[in-house]
Amino acid sequence: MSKGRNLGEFEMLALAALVRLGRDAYGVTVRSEIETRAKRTVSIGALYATLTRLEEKGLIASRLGEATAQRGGRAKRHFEITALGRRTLERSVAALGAVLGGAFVADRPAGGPGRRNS
Amino acid sequence: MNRLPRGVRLVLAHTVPRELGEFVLGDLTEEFHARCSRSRAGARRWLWRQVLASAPRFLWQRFAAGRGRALATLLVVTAAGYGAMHLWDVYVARELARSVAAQNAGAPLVAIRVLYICLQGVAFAIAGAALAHATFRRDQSFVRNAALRLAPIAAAQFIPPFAASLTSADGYPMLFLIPWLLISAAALAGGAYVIDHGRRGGPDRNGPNR
Repeated sequence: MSKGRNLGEFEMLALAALVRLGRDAYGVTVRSEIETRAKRTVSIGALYATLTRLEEKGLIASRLGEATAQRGGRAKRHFEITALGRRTLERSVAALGAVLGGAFVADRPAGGPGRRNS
Repeated sequence: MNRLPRGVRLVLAHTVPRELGEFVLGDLTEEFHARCSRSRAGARRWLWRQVLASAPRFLWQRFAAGRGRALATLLVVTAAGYGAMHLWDVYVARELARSVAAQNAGAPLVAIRVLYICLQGVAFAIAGAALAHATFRRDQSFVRNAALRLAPIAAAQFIPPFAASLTSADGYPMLFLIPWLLISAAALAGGAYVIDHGRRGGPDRNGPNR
């Protein structure tokens, strides 16, 4: 995989959120999804910078959504993961899992998974 | 009323890239009003934290978007301008001035200076067109574009070397300074106007001055 296809941590979180949200993914729901599941604060600036970058890489696509009164009459921008984005995310998750999984197995005490010898 | 506080709108208007403005403001408005139903003070704190954390990033995005093209154009225009000035000075103006001065003829010398000013006018018109093409925003009026983008660039790139050449020993007398400045400014603005007008597609499609 070329260097340009490597994903950063926040890019992986954003792509994973898009996979979970499906067609309902737009700024508010993506931010909320990441905050809820990753338990971290996400600024809207960081989110849009990442989504813009992912779209430039061809990993996600966006379309104009409907305008609602709650948004002051402003339109939504819906995001969707592309096939390339899905493959890239799967590869990154697999690579991360392989490295982290191995590390945790090596550190795991002999008494069994998740248990400590005292 | 579904509007964000005035201060927030002001900060966002000057930081968020235009292509994202509608979506960012819409998202913040939606979430701010959802939070207001629980606690208005808490919602305001959340909103300001979001704005202050995001503003530097948006500002950088906004700056980076047009930076490359504008800088490249500036470099090309400046290099071409200096190259043309140098060639004219070395191969045309000095030789002509020398030969005319040797014959003690005042009128031809004035004609050469006028010709020089006209050629500089043409060069400035081309520079104005190139700068307008690279840096002007279609959603703003020509006057606003010229004031915000053309004037500072022109002042920084063109005025100092030309002013220095005018005040040098073999430069032009003060009599030529004012017409030179007027012609240069008019040519720069004229070149920019032609490009700006053409890109808008005519007088009835002029964008509002937002």
